Amino acid sequence: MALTRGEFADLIHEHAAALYAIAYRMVGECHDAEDVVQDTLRSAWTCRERFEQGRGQRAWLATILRRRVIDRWRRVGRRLVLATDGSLDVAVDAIDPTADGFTDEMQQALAALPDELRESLLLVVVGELTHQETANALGVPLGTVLSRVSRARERLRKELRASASVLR
Amino acid sequence: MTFDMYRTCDDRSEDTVDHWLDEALRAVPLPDGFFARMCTLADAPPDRADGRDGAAQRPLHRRADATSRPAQASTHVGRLQ
Repeated sequence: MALTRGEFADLIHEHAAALYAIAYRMVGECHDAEDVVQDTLRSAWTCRERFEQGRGQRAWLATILRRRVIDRWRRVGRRLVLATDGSLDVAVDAIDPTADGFTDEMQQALAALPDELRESLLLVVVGELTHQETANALGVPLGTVLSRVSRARERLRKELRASASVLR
Repeated sequence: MTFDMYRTCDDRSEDTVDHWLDEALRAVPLPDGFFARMCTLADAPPDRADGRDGAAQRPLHRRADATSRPAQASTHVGRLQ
């Protein structure tokens, strides 16, 4: 069943904040993040005929958002490599940790993670997708997502502890 | 949400640390006027998403009032110790 205008408004109210958080953590800049969310919502409306009631709305939107992030990085010229499993692979060295809004320790710690770990963690933790929804969104097996999230948490703990010890 | 509460917490098990990491990851403040701008999409949903229909595809925050600047994300999430 196609998405109605009222349902579209409900989607925005329910999911836009989480989409923004995912986008911000992925792109590291507030204006770009908002642009990505707008692009995502526009795409969702354009694809409203494919909307299925009862299906995970957040997962549907997060999948679109991930594609819009990839599109954006292609457009702005950041080096972007799609791994064979479809994971997001963006050069970390292309991200300036001191650029707009990209100054908190968590964002810098995230930048140190391998891309496939980062996007899995963000979809599960920030997007609050289930591991299975994340696996579907990324086109990888469930076990891969479980492993990636676990390794991402471990790496993040280490990065933040290292940051703390340097600054202490 | 910051790690400040974590620092005052006696329980520093892996689960506790992960809990605070998760909270810090989610702690991204919304820009001022974000929902108002997003709601304009709901009021007048775009018919095209290919960027060819002019003003409707322009980033809404760049058309917004200059006083409605998006907030920067939190610059402090505390530190693990």
